[in-house]
Amino acid sequence: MIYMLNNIEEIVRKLKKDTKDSDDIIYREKYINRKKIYIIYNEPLTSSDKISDFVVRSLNKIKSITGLGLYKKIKNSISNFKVTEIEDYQDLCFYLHKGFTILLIENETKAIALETKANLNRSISPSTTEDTVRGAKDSFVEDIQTNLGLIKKRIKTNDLWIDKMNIGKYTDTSIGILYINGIVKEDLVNEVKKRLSKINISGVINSGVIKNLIVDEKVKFPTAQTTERPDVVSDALLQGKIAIVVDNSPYVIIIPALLQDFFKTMEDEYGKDTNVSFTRILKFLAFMISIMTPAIYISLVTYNQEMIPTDLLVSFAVQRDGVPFPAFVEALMLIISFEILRESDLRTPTTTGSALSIVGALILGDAAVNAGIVSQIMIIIVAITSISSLPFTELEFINTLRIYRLLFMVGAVFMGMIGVVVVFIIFIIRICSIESFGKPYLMPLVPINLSGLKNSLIKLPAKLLTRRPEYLSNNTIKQRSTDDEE
Amino acid sequence: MKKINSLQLTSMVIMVIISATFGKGFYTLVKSSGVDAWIGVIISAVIGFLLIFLFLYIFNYEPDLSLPEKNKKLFGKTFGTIINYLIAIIIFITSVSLFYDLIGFISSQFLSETPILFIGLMFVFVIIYINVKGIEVISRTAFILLIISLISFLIGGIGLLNNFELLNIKPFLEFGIQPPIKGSIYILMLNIMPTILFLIVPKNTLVDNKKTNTYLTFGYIISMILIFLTVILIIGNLGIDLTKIYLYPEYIALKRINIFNFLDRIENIIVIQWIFCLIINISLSVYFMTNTIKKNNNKLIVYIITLLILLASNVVFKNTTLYNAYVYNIAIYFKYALLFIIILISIKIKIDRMKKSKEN
Amino acid sequence: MMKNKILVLFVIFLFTGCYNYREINSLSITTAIGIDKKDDNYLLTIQVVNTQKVGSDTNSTGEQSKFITYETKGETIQEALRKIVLESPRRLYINHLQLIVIGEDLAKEGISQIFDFFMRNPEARKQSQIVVAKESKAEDVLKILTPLETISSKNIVDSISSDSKYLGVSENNTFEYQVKTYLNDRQDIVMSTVKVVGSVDKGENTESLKDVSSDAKVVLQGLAVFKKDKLVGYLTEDESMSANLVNKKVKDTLVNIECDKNKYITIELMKPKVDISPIQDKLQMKIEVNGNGNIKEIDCDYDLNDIKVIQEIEKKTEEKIKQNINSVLNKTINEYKTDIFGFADTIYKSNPKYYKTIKDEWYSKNLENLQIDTKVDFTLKGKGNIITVIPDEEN
Repeated sequence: MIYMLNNIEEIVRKLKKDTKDSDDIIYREKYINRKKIYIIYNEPLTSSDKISDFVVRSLNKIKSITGLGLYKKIKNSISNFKVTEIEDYQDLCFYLHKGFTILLIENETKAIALETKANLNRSISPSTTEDTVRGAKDSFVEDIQTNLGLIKKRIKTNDLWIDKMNIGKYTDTSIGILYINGIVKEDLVNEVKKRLSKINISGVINSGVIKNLIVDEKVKFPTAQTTERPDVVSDALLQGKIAIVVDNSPYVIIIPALLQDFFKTMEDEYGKDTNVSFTRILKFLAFMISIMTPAIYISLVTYNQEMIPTDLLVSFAVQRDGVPFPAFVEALMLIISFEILRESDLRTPTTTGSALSIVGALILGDAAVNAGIVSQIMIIIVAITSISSLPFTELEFINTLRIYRLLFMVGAVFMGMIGVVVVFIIFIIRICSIESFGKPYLMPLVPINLSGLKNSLIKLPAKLLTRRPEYLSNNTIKQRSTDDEE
Repeated sequence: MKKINSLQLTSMVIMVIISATFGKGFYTLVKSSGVDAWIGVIISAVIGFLLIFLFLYIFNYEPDLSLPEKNKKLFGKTFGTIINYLIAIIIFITSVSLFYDLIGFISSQFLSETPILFIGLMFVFVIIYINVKGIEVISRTAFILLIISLISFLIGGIGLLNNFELLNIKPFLEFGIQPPIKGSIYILMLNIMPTILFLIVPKNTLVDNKKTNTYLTFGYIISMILIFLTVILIIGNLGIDLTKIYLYPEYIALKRINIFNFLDRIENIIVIQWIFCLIINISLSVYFMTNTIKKNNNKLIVYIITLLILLASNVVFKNTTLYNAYVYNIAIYFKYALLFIIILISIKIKIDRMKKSKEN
Repeated sequence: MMKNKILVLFVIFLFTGCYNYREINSLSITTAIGIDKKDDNYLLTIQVVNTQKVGSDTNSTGEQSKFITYETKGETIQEALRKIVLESPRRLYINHLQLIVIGEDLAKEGISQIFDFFMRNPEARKQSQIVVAKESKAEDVLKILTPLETISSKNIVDSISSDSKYLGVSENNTFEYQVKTYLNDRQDIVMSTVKVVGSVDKGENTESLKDVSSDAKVVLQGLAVFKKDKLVGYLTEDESMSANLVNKKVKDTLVNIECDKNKYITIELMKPKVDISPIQDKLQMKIEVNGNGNIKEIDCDYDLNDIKVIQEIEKKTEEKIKQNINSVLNKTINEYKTDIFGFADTIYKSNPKYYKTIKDEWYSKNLENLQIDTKVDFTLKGKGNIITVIPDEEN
């Protein structure tokens, strides 16, 4: 509804009624040339230094003016760069809640909003969840402008385009969609914008909420990456991906994310190619071990005893003698207790954290064996399983592993090795059918893409990595070239 | 329109050709040719080129249409539909026997006490799942499963090569060239004929259709090499007498693998490649049948067809003796019928092309 | 949709319902089976690993034996095996079977039934060893406890495998190989043998383990020769070594030559290459043995730096090997009338048409008339660490 701003008293009264006369909103009256000016600002969000510096001082400089030009004079003489004109009541509230100072001038149709936001952020500090040994240590904070600044500091070009949106009925969170024009594919951008515009939600607390709303819900695997580090984001942008920065959240969403992205870290850019390939293959092995080990053990011990060498079989039999539970229940119990340990490890304060986990792991395991509840080999299996799930940075990914691990165990307990094979096929079918924003999840393996393969599971020397993979970008111009060719 | 790669199509074809070697293919080959089975493989590989050429000829005609649509276009609506249904019925019969192969193998070697129906139900679920997702998922899965199969084949091959004795495949051609030719016919019909399945994909939906012909030929050569290696390694390892009396000599031969005294008892892992190939074959057959009946995957039809396969394989084949007799004597006539249909189609294409060039 | 699928999957899994589920502790892991025949019934002795956990209290005196022995009787082997359940609480699991011992009486009657049973059973692994108990019963063999290996069947199996590597008296052939040879009509089987030496009763308890030289032992002996599926005789140790040599199963073996009265030279024959080739269209075979070797021990006072002496030693070795081979050929062909070297098979594989003509009378006439030329070529490569002989103190 458009309220005429002529009657500023009425507006002030309406404002006071809508905010229930809250003490946080300060109304200051000022008279210039017998014209009344209201200075309205939201105290927790604004910094009083800025208000007194810019607003009041500039206003004091304005001396006698004829009545009609007061507005223009004020507008021109305010020594604050970000000056916006408001025309209706909605905008007034919007800017008030953003930390702007509103100048209501009597008998004018427009009002002025000045940017006087306070800095309520923490300083840029190293990331707590993602760590590199040799990389840059700064990480995102909760303010969207600072985050954008950290990215723009690294990609200094006109082609870095930002589309802004506001989402959330009560939170009105700003969201920035970043991409590099010329590298990214058009339809990807359009798809992302389309999905974002469909969101109709009452509040956005952090980026995770948005991420869950725009990715495919039925898929258990993570199809978007979240990161706290600006160098990861810049690298992704250079590949042709899209980054979504959400206000009040230090986690930036990167779209699209394929399976290979969860095996890569920023370390790869700094290391030698063979070492990097080795690490990636190791991570892949850890992935497979983490999913399949309990299931394989259960099927070996209960269905397919012919696959174990005789000595090992005798040793297993001696260990399992006297254990009251069947193998599946044993494995389930241990895995659940290990997961509980892990969760509690995340929540306890760091002072008591490490001691408790040592207590938990060692003593729980050892004591359980001595009490005759579980067998020794099961402790080892569960320990290997859980440790193998730790090399991955993305929390979502680790959680997905848990689901599939359980599924494999169920398959093993019902049909032994054949059950594991059947669940394996189902697992592969599932991965093959996932698409992250239109790109098959298993690119570049299936469908095969040679330029993408050069940097996926193994990393070839930098001299050979000269093209961007086509599935992410149409701009496959040589990225790295030591010759003088173009 | 979702697109698949010609590399994925080739991997599907390779798996289809290899899958029949396990179980019925190997049994008929050894029973008919004896020690000279490997010569039979070579002969069939050479003659098989003609068949592949025929298939590619049909494939390249009217690249926008899949095989059922091509039949309708060539022969008119009614006659074309009749031919389509004939092909679909023959493929149904083939997949019933393949399914019985799979279930019988697992039931006799691994899960002897589980009722066969339930094991079949497990695999029915997998096949329904993969068909509901569509052809691109089938092809992607086939590609990944092919890589795993090749790796396990390599390990198995190296293990068997250690114990290979040349004496086991002598004497050469004791009874003349007749038995290998008979065996080669079996391979031609049982292994290579099912390649008709790939014709369900119209050529233009492939991403890189220029290369498809070369890829498919290479795929055929690779699969024939694999079959040859399988046959010669198994007979060379076990000797012809043992091969003839065992029920699943391909599996038993793997029990002998003992690499560095470390990779012992891995026969269960290596035999997984057969399970993969059989599953892809049956899934592709189901896809073929559903697309013949109605285009664009109708889920209900998928359910019905797969469950029919399960029921038929339980009811028709009561025990292995019946099955072996069927495979040795009767199965081949169905394939002859299929061959006849294929030749009919290609002749009609040739006539149509000549008519068109006359008109122009 | 995904939830539906998981639900369906789970329901299907419930149907398949763990029919084949068997915990390790419900299995009796069988490592050896001994088969005897008694009054038309099969008498089985089954050796099972004892997987009881030794209690954590160290007060328990005495050691537990690592295996348990069961005995059953039945009309067929399968029936006898099933009857174990009347005695043992666990299901018999023969996948890890390592040794099959056949009593002498049963071997003389025919072992085709044993072959049939083990081949048909899908659980039985065909890589186990099969031996004949010479002049003993299988149950006596299995009841002896042995030091150095906790399970006595493993002791026998490992003895066979190391023996075939270092001495060559027994042959390390799996069960499957024996069946393969048996099914091949053109070759006859040989099997390693074991014999119980010493008093049986003393060997049955753990007390005997504590003695350094126990009273009862299980010892490997020469090969047993079969004709078709019946046992016909045994070979001595020297003959077994030569038989294994001709069958190309020997890796290293020793040859003793007599250089002077009661003084011997021991030569180690390393990795001999044996080639058996038939002469085309004639009843004639040629055996060629090529090998190198070292002098291991020498008693006569020879000058080892003289080329002539070396050549003489080589010649004597060749003669001795040839003599051994001829004696084993004589014994098996003329005395036992079996063809354990597969001469028929060799002729068939290189010349099937000629084989058809001689096939029918192979055992009655042609085997004896087979002319076998043996040629041995031996090269002495080394003499060990010293190059002369340490002389006797005669002067």
